[in-house]
Amino acid sequence: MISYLDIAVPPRSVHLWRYTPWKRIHPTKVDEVPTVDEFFFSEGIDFQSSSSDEIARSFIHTVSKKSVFLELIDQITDLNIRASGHMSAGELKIKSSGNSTLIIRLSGEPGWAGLRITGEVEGQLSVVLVNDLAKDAHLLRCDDWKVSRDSKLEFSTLSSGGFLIKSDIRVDLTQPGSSCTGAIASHGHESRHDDHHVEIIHNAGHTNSTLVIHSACGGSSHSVSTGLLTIVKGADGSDAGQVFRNLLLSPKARAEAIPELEVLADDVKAAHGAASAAISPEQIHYLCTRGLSPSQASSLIVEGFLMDAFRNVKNQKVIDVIRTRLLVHLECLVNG
Amino acid sequence: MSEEVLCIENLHVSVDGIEIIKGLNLVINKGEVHAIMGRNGAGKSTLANVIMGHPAYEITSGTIHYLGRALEEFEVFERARAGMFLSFQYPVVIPGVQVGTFLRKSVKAVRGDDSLSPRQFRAELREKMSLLEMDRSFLGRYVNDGFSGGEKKRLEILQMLLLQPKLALLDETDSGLDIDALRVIADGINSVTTDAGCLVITHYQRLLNHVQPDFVHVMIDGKIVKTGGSELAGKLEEKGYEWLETAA
Amino acid sequence: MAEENAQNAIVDYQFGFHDPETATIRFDSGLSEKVVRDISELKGEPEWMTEIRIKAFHRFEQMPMPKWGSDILEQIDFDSIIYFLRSSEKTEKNWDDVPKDIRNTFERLGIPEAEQKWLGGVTAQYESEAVYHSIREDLEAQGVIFLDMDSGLKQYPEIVKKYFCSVVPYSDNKFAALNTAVWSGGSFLYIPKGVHVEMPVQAYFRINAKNMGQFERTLIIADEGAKINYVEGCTAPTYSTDSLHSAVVELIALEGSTIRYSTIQNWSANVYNLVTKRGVAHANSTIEWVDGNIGSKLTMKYPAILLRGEGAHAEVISVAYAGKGQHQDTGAKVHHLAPNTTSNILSKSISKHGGRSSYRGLLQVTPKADQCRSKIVCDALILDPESRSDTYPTMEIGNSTADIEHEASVSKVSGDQLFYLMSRGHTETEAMGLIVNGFFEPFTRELPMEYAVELNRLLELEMEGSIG
Repeated sequence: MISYLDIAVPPRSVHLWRYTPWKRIHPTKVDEVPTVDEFFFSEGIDFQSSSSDEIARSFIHTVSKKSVFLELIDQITDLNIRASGHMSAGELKIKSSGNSTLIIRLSGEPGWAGLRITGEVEGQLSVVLVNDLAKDAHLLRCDDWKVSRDSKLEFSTLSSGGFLIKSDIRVDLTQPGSSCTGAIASHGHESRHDDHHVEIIHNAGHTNSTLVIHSACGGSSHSVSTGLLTIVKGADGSDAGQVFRNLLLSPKARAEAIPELEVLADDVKAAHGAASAAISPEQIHYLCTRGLSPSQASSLIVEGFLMDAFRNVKNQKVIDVIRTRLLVHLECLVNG
Repeated sequence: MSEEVLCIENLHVSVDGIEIIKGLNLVINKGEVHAIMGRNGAGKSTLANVIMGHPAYEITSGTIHYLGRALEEFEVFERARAGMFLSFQYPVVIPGVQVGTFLRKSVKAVRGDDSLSPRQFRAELREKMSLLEMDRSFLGRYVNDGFSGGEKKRLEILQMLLLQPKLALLDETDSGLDIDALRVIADGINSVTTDAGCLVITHYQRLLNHVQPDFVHVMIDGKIVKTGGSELAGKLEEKGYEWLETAA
Repeated sequence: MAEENAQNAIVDYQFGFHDPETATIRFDSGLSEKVVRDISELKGEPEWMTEIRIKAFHRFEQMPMPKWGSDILEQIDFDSIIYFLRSSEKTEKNWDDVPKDIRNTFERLGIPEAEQKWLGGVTAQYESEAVYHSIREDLEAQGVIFLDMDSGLKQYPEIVKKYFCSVVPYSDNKFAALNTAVWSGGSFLYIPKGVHVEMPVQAYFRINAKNMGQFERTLIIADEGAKINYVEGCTAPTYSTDSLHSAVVELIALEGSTIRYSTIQNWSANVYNLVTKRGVAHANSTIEWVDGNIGSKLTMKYPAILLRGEGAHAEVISVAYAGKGQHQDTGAKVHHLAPNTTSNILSKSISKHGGRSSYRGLLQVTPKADQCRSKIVCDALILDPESRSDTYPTMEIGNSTADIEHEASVSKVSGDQLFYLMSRGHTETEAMGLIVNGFFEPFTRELPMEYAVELNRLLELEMEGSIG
């Protein structure tokens, strides 16, 4: 097995590392393997994880002292992950079957946190990660999901906490009938840097995926959405779509979007779109005619815009969790 | 008994430097229904938008008073909170914002924080939605997102009923409605007119068969050229606008 | 394998004929500082140009091959390429004076006929240099300068010195460095203030020799309020060994001017086409790239526009056709550097017989560029299971007043469409041709009529036998 230090630092020409290069998300220096504290997991049993030849995954694996395994069979599970100490990391392996729901809440006040998730889905799994880290935390998150025959993964992320976020989510639709729905809402406020990368690979025919990333960009925040949809040769009858939207709220905010498509099969539907725009004055005016002040109106539009990222998510429990967390988050911001 | 709600004097309005309203006078008292009729482009929608304070419209001269106060210094939301309501010809889509959330926030903003408990609010909402023959599933949908023309207009009227305005401006509320929807919406309008002044903008007579106007004004090229009772609407339907245009 | 590909290509490619080489000067293959100096000396260039060439050459040597784009890049053997080949002692103004073999080539390509009918001026480049050049007298009288680039440097050294490398620095990329080191030929075009050139001006590039490298350099300056429509076409014979075409085009649109630059690239399937095209648009000016890529083995070309002045507008319309053994890696780059600038990008591509077409684009809005609008649309058609289509768009938005839209779709020709057209009496091939022409229509609409007709004919030829 290749060790972390043997892996070359990826160049910035790879779009995954273009805006948040590896040295920026590494907690110390790229050639160091620091000692970090372990995550607290409210559920799961200890297990022996394996490494990866991808730099970020290998790094988290190398520094983690805690790996837990969680099996979900037709159940709804709340998982609290708490990061403590200056640097903190952990690995989570999920195996789900039947119709399951997993609600992950990541909290704590670390300087740096590294979370690696690997998951195998049979049946249906709706998983949501709410990032509730304290506002100066750095987070590196790597997910790898395999979705088996006629199974479905819904993954949702509400990214409102922390200061510097790099998330790299990869989904492998391995067999005919696999599908996934991905939704990420990111709220850029103050000088938050929120970088989300999603790769979905259609490795079999008749696989479907949708991906929606909504970023509301305020303050002097920097939002990055990069994606790669690949439909391999012979994966006919597949349908893939990704939409990235940026709502630009402040003159100092920046937003980057790279929605990539690689299509090697001919009998498929693949589409992507991206849009960046400021809040529409017509929307503000409409809400003002209903008595909302301009700032109330724009806050409501932001809330709606972020919730709209989850329009394809079918799991109502997940939607409720996100809505509640989002409201609390926005209220806290308004009221300081 | 006549209590003046709206008073417009010699109003001139421009959009992008082009004059649309060219000297218009109008007084609306509490309990009165005024209809403004006219062809497309006569300036009817401009009038509704300028009363509500749309930023694109510039008042070049003249005044608008609402309940005795000059309107120009008031922001749009302050007008709404003071009891003015505009039903939009083309209601705006607000993705991700659920109708239920939106209505609750609007009622809270316009009628005040403590005006009614969540339980009272829900009861009132249920009652008014059933009046408008609206299904409860409306509440979970996003504001005007994917709504049919009739659904949009129903939602506008529902807002009007909940916000209890003192001045209701209805801009082409009848366009695109089938006859059943028209009746339902007219019932909604009639339920607010006793306590409010009401301005109905339309270019058909059909809504006026259900909502009896006290006054009908004909607007041509930015001015009111003729005012009459409800019989005038029938005459316009029959004879068109030419006889007035030649006179003007 | 290469031989077999070439054989296949010969069947499809109608400009695959070649003429006997008529070189008067022919450099040995391979590149060194001496080659660069020799080219410059042979042309009797001013010292500053020789110096830029040398600097660019060293830069070229240092720069690594781009890691992105295509693996095929690594196959280029720079040592086997001929960097300079002169086939005629001078640039003629009359077709009768052009050496007979070369004249025949251009006659077969229909250039003299087109010139008589509808062009305002023509440059015909054969291998490294222009062999024929003319401009209508009325345009010359209005002060329009249209020369091949070598003559441009001789006659207007100040203008060339001012603008050469000002839009595309030699250090921009490996192939821009290579071009700057060994450039030869290309067009030099200056349109004076307020002059509108209504008839298109055309350049035609032909590679004839084996293993030839063609490195033309084009510089177009539209002075304030001027207007020009420049068209270029390219063909080459089909050999089993590869040729390299690596051009640099720099456009300067001064205030209120309009430059439209249209290309129909129809190189044979053994040509690497690695081109840097970039324009600077000053206030209220418009630059339009109309770019058709039908031929070549590998094309990497991303016409770029820097919107430097307020109110400037960028338009890029491109189509790509990737057939057997071809990779069209094309796209567009637009940089919104000033307020109220607007851009439209429309890209259409077709992949067939294992071909690969990629859209690679960049849209940037800088913090100072308020109220910019941009719309990007990419559509791809894949005609069979062996082919591939990619979309690599990048959007960097640094201004909250920007209004940016991007949409892309990949689809195949639907069975219903084919059935419908066949039920109206068309063969499957004809039906496919109709659908493909319709798909490219937004592009052909923008071309001069004669070009549009030619393009449609080319596409129909490409479609023949496409049903497997």
